[in-house]
Amino acid sequence: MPAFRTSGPLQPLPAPSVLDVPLIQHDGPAATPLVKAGQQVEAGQRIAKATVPGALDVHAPAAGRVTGVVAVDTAWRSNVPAVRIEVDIGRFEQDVVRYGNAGVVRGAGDRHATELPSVDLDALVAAAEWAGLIDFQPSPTSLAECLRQTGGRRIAQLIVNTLAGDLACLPAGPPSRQDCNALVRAADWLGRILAVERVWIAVDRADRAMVRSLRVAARHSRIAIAALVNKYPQRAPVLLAHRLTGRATPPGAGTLDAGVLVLEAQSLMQLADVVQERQRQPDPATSAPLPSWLVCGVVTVAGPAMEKAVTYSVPFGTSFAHILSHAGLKHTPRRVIEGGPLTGRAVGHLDVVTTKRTSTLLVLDRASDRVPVPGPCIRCGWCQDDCPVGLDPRALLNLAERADVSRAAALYPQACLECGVCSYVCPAELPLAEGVMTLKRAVMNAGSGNAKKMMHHQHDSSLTGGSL
Amino acid sequence: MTATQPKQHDSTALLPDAGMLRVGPAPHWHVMPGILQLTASFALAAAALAVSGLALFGWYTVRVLAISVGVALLVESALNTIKGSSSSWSESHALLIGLLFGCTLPPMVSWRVVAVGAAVAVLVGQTLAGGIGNYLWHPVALARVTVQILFASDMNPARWPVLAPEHLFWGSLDRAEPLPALSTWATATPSSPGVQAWLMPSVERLLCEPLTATESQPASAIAAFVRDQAPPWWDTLTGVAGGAIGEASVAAALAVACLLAWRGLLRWPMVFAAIGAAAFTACIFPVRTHATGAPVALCPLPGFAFWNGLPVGAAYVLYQMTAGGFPFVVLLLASDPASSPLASRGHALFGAIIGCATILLRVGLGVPAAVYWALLIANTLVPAIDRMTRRRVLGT
Repeated sequence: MPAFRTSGPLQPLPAPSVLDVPLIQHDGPAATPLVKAGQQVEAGQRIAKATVPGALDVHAPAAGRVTGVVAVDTAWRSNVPAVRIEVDIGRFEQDVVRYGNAGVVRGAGDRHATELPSVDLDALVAAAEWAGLIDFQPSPTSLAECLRQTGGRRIAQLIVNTLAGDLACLPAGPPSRQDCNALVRAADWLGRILAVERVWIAVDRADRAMVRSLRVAARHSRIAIAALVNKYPQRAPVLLAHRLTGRATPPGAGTLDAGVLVLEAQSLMQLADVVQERQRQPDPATSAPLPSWLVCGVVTVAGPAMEKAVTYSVPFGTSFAHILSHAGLKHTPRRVIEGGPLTGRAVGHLDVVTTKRTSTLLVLDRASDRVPVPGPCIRCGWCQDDCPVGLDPRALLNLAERADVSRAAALYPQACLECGVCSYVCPAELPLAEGVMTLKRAVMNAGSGNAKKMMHHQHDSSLTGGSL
Repeated sequence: MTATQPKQHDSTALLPDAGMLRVGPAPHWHVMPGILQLTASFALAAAALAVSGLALFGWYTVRVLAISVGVALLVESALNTIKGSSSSWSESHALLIGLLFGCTLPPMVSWRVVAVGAAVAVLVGQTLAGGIGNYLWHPVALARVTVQILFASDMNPARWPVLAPEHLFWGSLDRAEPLPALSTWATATPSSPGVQAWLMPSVERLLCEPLTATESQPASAIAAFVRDQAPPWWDTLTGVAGGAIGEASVAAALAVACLLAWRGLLRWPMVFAAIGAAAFTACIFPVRTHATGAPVALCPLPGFAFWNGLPVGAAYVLYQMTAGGFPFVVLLLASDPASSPLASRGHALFGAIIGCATILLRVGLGVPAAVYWALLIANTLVPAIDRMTRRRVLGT
């Protein structure tokens, strides 16, 4: 698989005239809007509040006028309620300056030069809730919920993950020594709050400068720097926990059930950032510079249809059409994927908007986009050999085609990491990952009694090629 | 902001019209070899062996391969017509089966043998057994043992014809005469003009029968085999010791193995396990020997036999490893994904079974084409191997 390495620093995106800020930016319920049509909002102002567990607060990415609540599509959900803001273009440029560096691990060193405040778990949860932080391990969910779940459990080990994921897009250049110092300090800080026995920072062995910097930074601390071969999908929490601590997570469960909290370095740094800011200023949204991650994300746009890979700081709620029209297309896109090539989601139109989980847009042109033509299974066994958790995707696909949920349970489809490797390596181009994921959901919902119905529904929708 | 001033693009004109974007499930990128590429790689490997056969056996190679491939394609086409399905090239396995089956045959075999074998391979071995990915036994091995049973005399000659050094590629096997005593392929001189090929003793046939002892010690039988009966071992490597079209040249089989390894299709655990198991079994399994006027005796631990200070046992083991198409089967046929175990852990066991069974059948029971029988035995055990070597799901 080719890797598209971005060149040059972060680019600002020209101001979009309209932002449709989704009230669901992760895997969770919608927030309740706090603004009305016609109301003026400031950049960073809270425009929706989490009123149910698992929901996230939403902040205005730019100053402007609210025109109402509309339904938009994100790459992962259709008809998501969104607050539409007519952006005040003149103010946008000023706000962009206020955002500061959008790099989170990279560039975080300056923001965390001092000791982090000593707080308890409740304060951490409150901070994560206020900022609407999400964690991506294994799917984008509320970080506050994740932290809350650690409350009643014995968490023995903390793993902070810096490994790149299912990305064909790689960042340019290693982080600075200050960034590494800040990361080590934050990991140590969280480890003390959670009272864990051991703290790991998982880092890509190939990133030698980062490994060296982290080892120097962690020299006098209890942090263990684990330099790993980042063979996809090594960054999956279940695999990281097993690789570093030897603790196996039961199929379908999270690593918390194995006593291990796996946290993205990005989420940790955002959490440290917001806790520090809240100590300084109760409402960091009114402070300057505004924390960039509150209102915009870092999105890499790459792929064969692009002139070159570019990384933008993009306000949440920006349409893909706006990004692509400024990103330097070389050819007309044939497939636009949010996420990486193995697990990303292809969108059916470009009015889809960005959310907090948008980190990559992979743009394929007609020449590079090939529709797989499934052939007969030749029993090569590559899917089984390459499955990181030891599933038998071929057997599971057979069961999925027969909607045989009861027999599938014995093969543990709920252990699937949804990494897509089985489909990627299959020479017959069979939809193995799709079949396993369908069974996974059916098995996990088996208790509700509608597993079989769900199987047929998912099978039908897979034939139509997606929801958007 | 720390960002630099960007060069702004306006690609609005290149944005796709509504409904022009393609959606579909992940993964969105496929660069792994597909079935067509896999089949092409194996077919290329078989073709490379066919070229070695062309050099050693001349136009007889073309004749056998043409009949084999032609019949295989014809049978597949007829079956598709009966089933009412159209087969794409990516699903057509008949070309590969035809090529491989042709490679397992002696060059001067009757056309009936070729036609029957190719038809059996496609009809029984592949189609009736469930098609690609579903057959238990390798179609080529199944066809090979079928013709071995039906046409035993054709398939198990005492001597193999090989073109003489100056007649490679273009000579005729019809003009062959037995290799003179105390001569090798490279040094032999024809007794009459017009001789274009030599008849070489079949090493596999010699190994299937009790070895002839020249003295009272059984080890003398091994020494006699190495010294007097078998062609130089180097000749078995190059292929001039004779054999089936694709089996004769071990060097060609090794070159093909390099090609498959480069394509990532060679199953190393299986290959090493097969070679190791065959060598070990050949070393320890007693060899039957006989001397004139004496009952059959056993030579224990033949691999460790010495005669006049020479390690004749080691040479005997090397002959076992290169005779009877063992490299061809291990490197090419056993790597067939459909009839071998799913998990890589099972490949080693699969290879070990092939290696052991080949020597046991050949030396213990005197079965001709033992390696094909061994492959079928290993194929039969694949479901059990799959069950034994199934990976445990993480966290269970």
